Amino acid sequence: MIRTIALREILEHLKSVRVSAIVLLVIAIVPLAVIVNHRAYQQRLDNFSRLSTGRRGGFSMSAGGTGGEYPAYRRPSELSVLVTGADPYMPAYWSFTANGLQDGPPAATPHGLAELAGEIDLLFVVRVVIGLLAFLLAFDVVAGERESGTLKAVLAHSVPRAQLLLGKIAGGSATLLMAVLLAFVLAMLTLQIVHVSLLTGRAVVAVALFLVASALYAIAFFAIGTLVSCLTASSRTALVSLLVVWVGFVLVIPRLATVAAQAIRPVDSDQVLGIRLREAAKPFEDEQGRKLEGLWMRLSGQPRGMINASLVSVPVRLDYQNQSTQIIEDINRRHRDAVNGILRDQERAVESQQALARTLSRLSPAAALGLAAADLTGTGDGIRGEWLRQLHTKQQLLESQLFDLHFGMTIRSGGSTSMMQGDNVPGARRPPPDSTLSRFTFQPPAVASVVAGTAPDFGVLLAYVGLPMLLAFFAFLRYDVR
Amino acid sequence: MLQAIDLTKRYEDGLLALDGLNLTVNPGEIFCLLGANGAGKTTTINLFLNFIEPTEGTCLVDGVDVVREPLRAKRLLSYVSENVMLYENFTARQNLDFFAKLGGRNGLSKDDSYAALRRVGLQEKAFEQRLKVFSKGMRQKLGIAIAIIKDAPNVLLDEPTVGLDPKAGSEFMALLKGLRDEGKAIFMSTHDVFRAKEHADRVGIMKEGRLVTVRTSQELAAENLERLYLEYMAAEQVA
Repeated sequence: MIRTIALREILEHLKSVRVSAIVLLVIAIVPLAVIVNHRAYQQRLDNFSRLSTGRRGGFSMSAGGTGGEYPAYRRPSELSVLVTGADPYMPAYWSFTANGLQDGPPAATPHGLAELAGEIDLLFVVRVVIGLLAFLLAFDVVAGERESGTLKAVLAHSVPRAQLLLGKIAGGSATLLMAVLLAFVLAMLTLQIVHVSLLTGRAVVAVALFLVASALYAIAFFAIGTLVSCLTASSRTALVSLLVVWVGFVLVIPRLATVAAQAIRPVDSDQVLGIRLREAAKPFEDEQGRKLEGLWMRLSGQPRGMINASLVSVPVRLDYQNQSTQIIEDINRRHRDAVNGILRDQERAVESQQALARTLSRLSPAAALGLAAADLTGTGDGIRGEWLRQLHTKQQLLESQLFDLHFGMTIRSGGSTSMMQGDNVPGARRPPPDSTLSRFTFQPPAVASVVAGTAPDFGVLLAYVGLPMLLAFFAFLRYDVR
Repeated sequence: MLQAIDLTKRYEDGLLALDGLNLTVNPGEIFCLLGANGAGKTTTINLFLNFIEPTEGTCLVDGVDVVREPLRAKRLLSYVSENVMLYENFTARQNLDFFAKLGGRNGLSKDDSYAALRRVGLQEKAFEQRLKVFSKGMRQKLGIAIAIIKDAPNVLLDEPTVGLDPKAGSEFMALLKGLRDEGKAIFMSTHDVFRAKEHADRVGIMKEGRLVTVRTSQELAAENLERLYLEYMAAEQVA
């Protein structure tokens, strides 16, 4: 019985103009989107290759500490050809510096129109186009048949209502799965044409799970559509209601979630953060100047003013060198702790805000699909968070190995600071050679941990499949077919 | 056999649509129920189909209570509505096959389908045409073909001849007579006094939810059914 009803539903859907129109749209958009996104990806990859081979970075000593930068270049995600995500907007590189980890410029120039309309990629096709198709198939699945009288004709036979609805949902879902598969197959074929192979284990798993998430999403939208159709007596009312739901799920909730999170958990702007860091640095700078001047005067007996260091005996200079290094490194460490504390608080606030935005946005299955797809394809918040975690670990290592150490002699005189290189001071500490500072290499997170990270999104999608379906069954059991 | 026993239906808004209906339609009989719009004819059919539940009373189909065992009761029923609404994007044969499967007739061959469609007088070229191009008469014939394929012992028809031209109406009634001759109990609600008199074995007149009179075909042979109907409709109150 269910099979008979499902097959009829599939045939009915396949014969309908709305399916033909959407399929044509999918056929037109998917290859185009993949080709355009592949070109953009290739451009980012070229930039990455040029940067990572041409500019290695390095460190230099200057008055007051160690300067320079050491960049860590981010290779763009190959799967961004399918799910653009945040890949173009994440930094092309980060720099380890004495002033902390610095963001480089975004990997691609922000495109105003894309920011406004969203990227056109495979995720867009599933989220927007197939989401719309699901509603267009579902809105009249019950209310429309009631209006046309066919529901009465069917229920005049010995057909249990639950089986009838199950058959309808199975038929609609199967039709949508065909549309989802068509979109994915077209995307894969286009990738073959542009000579991109996604046959690595990681990519296969990511695409397969993205396909599963897309299928769940399509079924979830169909289930929601069926529920609305079961709650209304007119297909027109159902269609209007579903269009409002579609706008809410696809366009409003994901954006509103970010705005709401910003309002609920505000975060200091970069300007405010900069002011806080400068204010935090000032007492340490003053303390260092005061202590070094005092030390110099105590050891050399020289008055404040211009100093000719060569007039001071070598033992005094060495003594000053040893004691001042301890003072500077102690102050550096305390300053670093204070700065790291501020930055940690800021990062926690940002993470908390982003987590809230993600949680709120999961009210929409469209957002849940977007989050899962971006994380699976390495273009979402997950990969950015992993980059930052590893970068911070490396930055802390460099701070202890390099940035917090003092090399050479620093003498504060009046308002100016001069430095005597370690070479000029016998026994002075020298910085480790660049080669001993191990290069930064990003370790991609394990596939299992990426998949585990998408569990909440899959949970949301499953809930959106199950709950509306359950409610639709209850509604349909009481549905007035007259 | 169709039986309504003290059947009453009061809707949620308080409207008493059916008031203590007692009625039996026997096998091999055409029973026509006449009445104005809102008299309770369609409510009676909806109760037999279990689309609504009675406030009081019982509907039995071959002794099966439609409220307690709706699916079993529906297996014993065929239903043809005023406008036979089937799937427009499907051909006559596809519709027939689909509803045959719903009625429990799996594995219907093309020949079986064609035979049923021929029997109701549908033109051969229409067998594989989509219903979009069907006239009302053709749809009604297809509705009867579905009932024939289902081969249920009871047939409910809700004003099936409305809008049919005289020839199509006559052909339709001939088909009903064929089903009656096969021993099926046929219950038809209608406004068509002339066809009721000509083809029914018994005619009931319903007013404001009550069956006010029942006449056999023999009794009607000596009476003017139209005048009788108008007299009942004109009566101030139902006794």
